[in-house]
Amino acid sequence: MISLILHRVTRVIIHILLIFSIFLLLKGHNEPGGGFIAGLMASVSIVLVYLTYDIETVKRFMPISYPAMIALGLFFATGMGLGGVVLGYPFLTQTFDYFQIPLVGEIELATALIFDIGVFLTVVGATLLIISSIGEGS
Amino acid sequence: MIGLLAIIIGFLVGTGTYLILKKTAFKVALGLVLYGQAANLLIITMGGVKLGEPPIILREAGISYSDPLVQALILTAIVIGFGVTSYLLVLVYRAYQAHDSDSVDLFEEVDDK
Amino acid sequence: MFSVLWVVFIPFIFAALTPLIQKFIGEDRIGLWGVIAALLSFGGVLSLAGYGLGDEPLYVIYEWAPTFGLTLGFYIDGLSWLFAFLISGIGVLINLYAYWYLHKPDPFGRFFAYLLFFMGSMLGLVLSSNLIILIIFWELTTISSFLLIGYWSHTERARYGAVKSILVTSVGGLAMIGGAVILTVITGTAEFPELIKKAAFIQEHALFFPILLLLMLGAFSKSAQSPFHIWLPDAMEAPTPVSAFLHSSTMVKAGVFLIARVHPIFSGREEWILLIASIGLITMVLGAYYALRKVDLKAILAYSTVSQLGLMIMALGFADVLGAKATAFHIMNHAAFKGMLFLVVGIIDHETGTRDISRLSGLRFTMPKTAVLAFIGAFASAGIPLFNGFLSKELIFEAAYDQIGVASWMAVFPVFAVVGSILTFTYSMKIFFRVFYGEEAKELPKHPHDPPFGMLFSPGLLAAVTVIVGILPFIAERFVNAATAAITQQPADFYLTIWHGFTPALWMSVVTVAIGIVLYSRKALLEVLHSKPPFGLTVNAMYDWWYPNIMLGAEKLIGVFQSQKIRFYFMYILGMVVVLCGWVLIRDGHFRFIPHDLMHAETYEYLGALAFILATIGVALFRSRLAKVISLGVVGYMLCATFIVLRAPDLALTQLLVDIVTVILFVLVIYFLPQLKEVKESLSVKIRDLAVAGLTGAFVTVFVLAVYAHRHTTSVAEYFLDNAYELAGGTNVVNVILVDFRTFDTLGEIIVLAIAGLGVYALVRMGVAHKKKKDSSI
Repeated sequence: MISLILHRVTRVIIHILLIFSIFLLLKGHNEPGGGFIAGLMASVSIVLVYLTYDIETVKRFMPISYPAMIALGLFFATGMGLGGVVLGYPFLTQTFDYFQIPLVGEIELATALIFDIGVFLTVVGATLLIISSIGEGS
Repeated sequence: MIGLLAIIIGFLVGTGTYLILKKTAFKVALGLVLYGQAANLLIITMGGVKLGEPPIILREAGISYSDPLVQALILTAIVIGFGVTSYLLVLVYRAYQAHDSDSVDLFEEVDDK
Repeated sequence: MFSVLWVVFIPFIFAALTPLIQKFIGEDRIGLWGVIAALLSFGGVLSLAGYGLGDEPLYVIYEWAPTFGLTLGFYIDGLSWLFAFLISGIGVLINLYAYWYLHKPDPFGRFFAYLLFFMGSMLGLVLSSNLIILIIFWELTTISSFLLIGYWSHTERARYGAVKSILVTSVGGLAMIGGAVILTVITGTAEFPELIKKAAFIQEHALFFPILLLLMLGAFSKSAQSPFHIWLPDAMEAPTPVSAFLHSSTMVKAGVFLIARVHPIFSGREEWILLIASIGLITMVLGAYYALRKVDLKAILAYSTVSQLGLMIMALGFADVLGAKATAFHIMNHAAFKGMLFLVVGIIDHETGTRDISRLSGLRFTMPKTAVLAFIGAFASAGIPLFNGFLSKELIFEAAYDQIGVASWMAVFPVFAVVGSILTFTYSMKIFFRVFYGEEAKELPKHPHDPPFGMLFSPGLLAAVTVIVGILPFIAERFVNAATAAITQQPADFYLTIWHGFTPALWMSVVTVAIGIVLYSRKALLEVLHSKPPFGLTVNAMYDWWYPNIMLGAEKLIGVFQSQKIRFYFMYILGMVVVLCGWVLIRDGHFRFIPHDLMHAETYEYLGALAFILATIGVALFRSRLAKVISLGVVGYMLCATFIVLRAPDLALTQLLVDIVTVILFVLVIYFLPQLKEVKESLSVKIRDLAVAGLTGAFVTVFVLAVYAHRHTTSVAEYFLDNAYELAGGTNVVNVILVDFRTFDTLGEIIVLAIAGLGVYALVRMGVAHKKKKDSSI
């Protein structure tokens, strides 16, 4: 029961979906989005690949171990918090500032983004781990 | 509006209860998902219904926003709810593999041994 | 400052490390670990001697949870230091003794861990400055006592004794908690120094007697006062070092300690004398009488301890300086001679294999060193001059005699004090002369001989103290004066001497000894005491009737509620929620809804709500599992739509995505989980479930409306809305809360998610491994 249309479409939109999820992640501080939503978006796109093709394709497409991804996510989240501790602030203190970058203009950089990347990685890792475990296990 | 929401929450809880009282673990899992959704809806209702704009700050004076705190609470609750549901489903599945049955009463018998 | 915590927590830490250390140094030598812990603690107590023996007590408070008013306070004055000194000092000796006493195959590590656990609890009990903290340590001593009595858990008697001890003492403990709570509520403090300042207020309060009675129930049950004394003789199933340590020299004195501790708060009213002195008197006489009737050496000592505790409590009950002084002195002396007697009995049991007084005789030939120790212990216990027991007993006689001046009916105290002492004299003589004199016993289970030096050291040291204090009592003066000052809250400056002149107390002692000798030498008189059973209905018989019946009753009650079916538990819980909350809503008249715009909504909102409800019911109604899951998906989408209506774009996005993943998950499970045959549900079950579900749903609807009408407090959300942009540089307030204001919560939440993911992974992996094993075995 392989649908040719689904195959072709997935090939094209998977990239768009993933880029969109990264967009959601980066803009999350100011517009709807953020680590949780972006993480779910990315997971859903990869689950789409899993449903259209099979688990092997997903593995070729994204050769990462999911538990490692969860660990990396938690590392980002806590690492950011510990960074503050090193500088003498309470655990998980956040800061932000605006920078002028030639050609791009003024952008805002916040440490909260690092934390949000941690959230993103954890959500993607956990969701995909769950789905693939259930799919694989039987 | 609040009346409608209250009725919806009531139906979610009522149906969830009905499913949780069943013997089949699969139905119990469905019931728990409904419970989670009822809880989320309840929390956002308690934050106030239609108080103002979405909590994206527009930096203009005189705009009222809806409560962002309950939304932050629910956002994580939704994701965690998913995690818990999936864990529960895998438990059901494993119980079936081990005992060829998906009755919740089975867990109790195992406890007794 | 450091040393108070050191004293209390060193034993706990060492107890916790025992299993680990045992691996390194071996089970045989683990006793040394206990000795080291006790020595460290003892050293800490000695370093505090300046406060314990000086004029100025030490009062330290460690902040624990200051917002809740919880502090960990220690108060070191003459009374608490005396106890700490006895506990840690005797603790060293007991650990040392037990090192030689225990033998295989008993688990040594467990024994020393329990013993240290007890020591820490007991030190915490006496040193704490707070009634509530005291009660916590109090219950810890009860638990450790339970564990130690049941140490030889393979014997029926040990289990019986352990259960009895914990039941009797925790009944008193519960009463005590009640008293402490009332006291704390009316005074607003549980710190002893504060309570002492409020003594006048407490004594005039209407609840004075209930508080006193409840606290005393705790003290009486712990100190084995009649009618709670029944647990102590059965506690003798514990190994003898435990009996010597917990059940004679320290733990059972916790009740005496509590009475002494609250002495400045409560004493002064007549209830104090009536309650405490009377119970003490009754217990003293009854205990001595029972001790005389027993043939097991340990049982004799157990009842003797009961009786001596009664004596001390009686003296405290007099509520005067002399009584306090006598008690303080007797606490020390009793700890020395009774602890030593127990250790001696332990030696006899260890070396001859029996404790039956009718089988033992003439041991002085084979165990001369032990005989000397037993002689000192028995004579001190009997109250013979030149031994320490004489001095403190004399003081108690004096205090009792003085009561005649208070009220003429109180002449019963000196009279019965003499009666009790005569009995005490008689059984003390029995212990020594029956066992060590007479013909040399034959047919003993073991060939008797003196024990190794290690077992003689501890009782030997206690015997030396007994004799030295007995001859040179001024050595103990500072200890006694400091403790007396702490009990009475007045400066105390006494001298302790052997010779007071021809006082009434001396004549009472003379009478005691004279009648005691007559009683002991006339077999006929003893026979009278032995033969006649005192009461038809004893407290023990009541306990033995009560215990199995209450267990049976509890089992029946549990059988009713614990159906072993999850859905019944669930029904109980829901039923309670609906009934209780519904009742409160009705009682307080909270069925007040906002009448206007209750049902005001746009048409599309009505349609959406209808779809939402239909989809919800569909989840339960559809027969096919796939249809159920699709219906669940629709519910999710409708929830997503509701979030949009409620101005929550982030939630709508999250819900949409989670809904997709959830549905995929359910479909996967359906795919792998075959449809199993379902048991047909009867109509009545369906109606019952529907009724429960309908009731719960209706209640929740009403509840939501009622709560919504009562939203009064302003949300903390204002703060986030005002500060999100300035402090965190973000305009999406929901996201700012998640990653900035409440980052720690979010961190916790992603950890939960990570654990759920890894849990699923592990469960599935486990399943695969399990299957493979199954396959390969076939």
